[in-house]
Amino acid sequence: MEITYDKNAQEILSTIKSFARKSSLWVIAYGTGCGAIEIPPTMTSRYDAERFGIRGSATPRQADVLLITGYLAVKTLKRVIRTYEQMQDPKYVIAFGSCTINGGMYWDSYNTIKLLDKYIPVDVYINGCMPRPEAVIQGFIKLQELIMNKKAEGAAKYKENLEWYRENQRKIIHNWRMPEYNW
Amino acid sequence: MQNNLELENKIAEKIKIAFQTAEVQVQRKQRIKVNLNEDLVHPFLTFAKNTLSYKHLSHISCVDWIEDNQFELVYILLSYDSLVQIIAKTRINREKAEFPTARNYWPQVETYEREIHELYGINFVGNDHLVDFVLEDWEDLPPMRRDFDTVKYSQEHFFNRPGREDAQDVRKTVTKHSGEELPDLAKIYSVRN
Amino acid sequence: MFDIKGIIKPFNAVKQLGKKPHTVQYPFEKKVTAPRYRGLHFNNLEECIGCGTCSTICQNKAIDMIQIDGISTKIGDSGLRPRVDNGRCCWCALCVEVCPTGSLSLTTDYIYVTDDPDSFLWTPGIDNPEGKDKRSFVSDVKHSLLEYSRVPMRELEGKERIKSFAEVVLGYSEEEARKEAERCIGCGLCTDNCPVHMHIPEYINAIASGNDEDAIRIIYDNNPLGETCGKVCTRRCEEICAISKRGEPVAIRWLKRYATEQAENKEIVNGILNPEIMPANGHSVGIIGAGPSGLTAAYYLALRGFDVTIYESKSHAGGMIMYGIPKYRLPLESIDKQVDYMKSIGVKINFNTKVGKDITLEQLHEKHEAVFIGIGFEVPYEIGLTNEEADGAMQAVNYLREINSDKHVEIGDKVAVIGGGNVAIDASRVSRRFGAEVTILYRRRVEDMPADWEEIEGAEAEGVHILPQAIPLEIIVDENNKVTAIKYGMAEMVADASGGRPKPKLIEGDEHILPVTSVIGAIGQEADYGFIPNDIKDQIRIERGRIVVNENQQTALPWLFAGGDITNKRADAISAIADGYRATKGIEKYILENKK
Repeated sequence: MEITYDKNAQEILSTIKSFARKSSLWVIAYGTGCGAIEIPPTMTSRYDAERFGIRGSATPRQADVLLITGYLAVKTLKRVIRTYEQMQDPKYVIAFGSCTINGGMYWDSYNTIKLLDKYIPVDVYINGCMPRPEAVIQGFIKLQELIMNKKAEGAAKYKENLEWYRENQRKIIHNWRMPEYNW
Repeated sequence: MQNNLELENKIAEKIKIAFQTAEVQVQRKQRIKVNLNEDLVHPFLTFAKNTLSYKHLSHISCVDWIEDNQFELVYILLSYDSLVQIIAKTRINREKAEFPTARNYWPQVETYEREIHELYGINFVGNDHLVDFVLEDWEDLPPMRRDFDTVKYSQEHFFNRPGREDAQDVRKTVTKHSGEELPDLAKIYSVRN
Repeated sequence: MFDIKGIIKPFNAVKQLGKKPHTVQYPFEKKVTAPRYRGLHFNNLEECIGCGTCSTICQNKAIDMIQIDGISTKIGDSGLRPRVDNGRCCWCALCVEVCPTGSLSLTTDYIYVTDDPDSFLWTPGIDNPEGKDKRSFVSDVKHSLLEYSRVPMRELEGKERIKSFAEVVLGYSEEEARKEAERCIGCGLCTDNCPVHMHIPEYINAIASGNDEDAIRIIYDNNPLGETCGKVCTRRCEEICAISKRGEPVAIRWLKRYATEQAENKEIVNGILNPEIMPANGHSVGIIGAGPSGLTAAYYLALRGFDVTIYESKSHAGGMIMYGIPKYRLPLESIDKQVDYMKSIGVKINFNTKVGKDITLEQLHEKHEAVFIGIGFEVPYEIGLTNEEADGAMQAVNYLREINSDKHVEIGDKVAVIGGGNVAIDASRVSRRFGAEVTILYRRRVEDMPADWEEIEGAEAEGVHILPQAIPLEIIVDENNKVTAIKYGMAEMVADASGGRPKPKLIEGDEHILPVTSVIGAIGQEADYGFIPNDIKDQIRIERGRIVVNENQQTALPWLFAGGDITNKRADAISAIADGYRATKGIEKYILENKK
């Protein structure tokens, strides 16, 4: 028997789905750069991000959100790509601070990437160097908004433009010894 | 008490007796600087470890003296008995950057030498584990060498966010407004070029 | 055993009931930021002068100077405003610390979240006007990275000064000059207000980096009288110095003086500059008057291979800087050094040759392909009082000329000087050096005086008495037609109905008599155009005593150029030098292009 929904029912269902997704954002604990130190106060009792359903998860496969908390060295980028590709849909990326936007204070460094969105898709950027926990929470609120409005489509973008992303990634990761995950 | 350098002077005296050509200087309390000839470094390290009880090597560092065409290697040693630090320095040729390893005295030296090998390109003879450290697959000049242009490298390899091309130069804007003609000699001294 | 403690203890937790939670419940509760918190930038666009120091100091290259609609480049404002790339900024606040005007600040706002990575370029003040009330990290003169007070110039004591004509200003030592030069932020806004557009930030930077010879080369690039300017320039540059917005401007004049004085004589100047003199091109130019404008034009024309001859009516070159400026401000040796250097590169000066008497303008025209007039304002205005011709009544310009020519002028022991300009101050300070008691009578208030405040202060330190709001009415003479007193009336300042500056109005009956032995008038000068034949006068335009010239200092007659006081209203040395410099280009263009 084939179940068919009418259009309204589909919309209601997807809204419920989005609500469920936004209300339990599990964050992979992957700290790079100086932003990693802003996560403990955000998660623990001082700012208590769990009020928003945000909590840590142990492995990439269980996580919904990847936080890039600052500069990424080329070596780290390799690990980040692997982590991101292992995560399962739905998945989102939040970029912290100047370094992920236009290089920040590492603008002339020989070993850090400047524009994160050239290598992995980013859903939300948080301004700051580093952003305070309030700004981090604001970033999550923004992400929740985007999820509700179905605009947080970074993962879909990555799948679509995988070739372009790969090209950029391979440009700086010369020795590509990475497993190809099943897309 | 603060200025009592008796212990330091005593150690310095011992070094001077053993190594006649070394320049020994007590810099301050708990710090002695020793400038050594290239070939005296290893005898000195053995001497320090075995005779002066310098059981601990804190760090090896490197300085690029590009004007003198030399690298400077800096060995920082610590004795748990006297708590006096010895900073042993030596200069090696920059063109043929090779130096015998000190891994045999302190095993942790391997990591320090790996780092210096990666960032300055100095080959530590006898250390067979000089593999990639922080930089993976690095193909350019070692980045801490002073002839490596980090801005140029980052411009070539990484992206810059567009939208900032309309930036203008204040001095040039003023010059344009006033009609001043800046001679080449003066341009060298423009703060903003 | 029954453990009552163990049962009660957990109920301790009840104590926490009703307590304020430890959690900051953002976004429902917002924490107050720390004092001097460094959030997003705010820029007060009206206060900002676009000096670009923020952009220069930024270690992350996060700040660009950009053109903004509605803000145009003008003197003292580059018209550019900073734009911050928040994808580069690390909020170190160096830009705020070095902002000379204090317009740039950081606010308490720090939250900005977006999904658009291209939206991080912010022009502070335009993109966040609400930041005006949220400024928290503001720049502060006391703790700034800039030095707001200048290295004081050493001077002779007031009592020492009046004993002789020794130079009052002693000049910077090397250490002082380097320290002062380091204050410059190199924005270059000052160059716009300099009539010559000297390369100020460049030569200051050369001094700061210890290269005085390069500084001299840069100064001589467009000003051959750098040493004169270093001593007596009216320094419009310092008026708009970025640092002067909140502190004392960089002592640009004293630094120029320091640099040029490092070359002690003309040989050293020549050795340093080693000027490249173009081979003679066979064209000749005549210059009337060896004042600043004439000397400048002659110098640069000679460098360009022209055959230049200056006709000077007096026995010494320099014009007003020689005969108008007292020797305690500009010593004779200094002028000689500069003029001798010019002669050494091929400038010819015919002294004691008055055009109109010894040679006519027509003859000059026949001899030379182009003629430059730089005669200056030499004829003083009459004071307009009775007995102006009396023994003891004189004109400041004539008085200073006589003194500077080493002649003796009898002034007695009580002198009244009429006027409030630099000439009046010069005349009174010179008179003080002859031991006279000097009173300056000026129609308006002290703050209205056109003289430099440094000059006024210097005069007061030397014991000159300034009597403001005093209008001279009559010079009183005795039977031998000798000045005995001056009668003056006090004035009150009346606001000008047409919006100009307040005007003095005589108070009826408030008249006083000051016994004096001489009266020196210094209320302005004009030019003597007697040497210009009428047919030429008809062809060039003379408006309000000044010859009308185009941007190349060319009069309506193509071969005739003019500069200095007779063409510009500023009437100072640097404007005259600028005229001479411009005329060089005009003459070169005229001769080389039109005579092909």
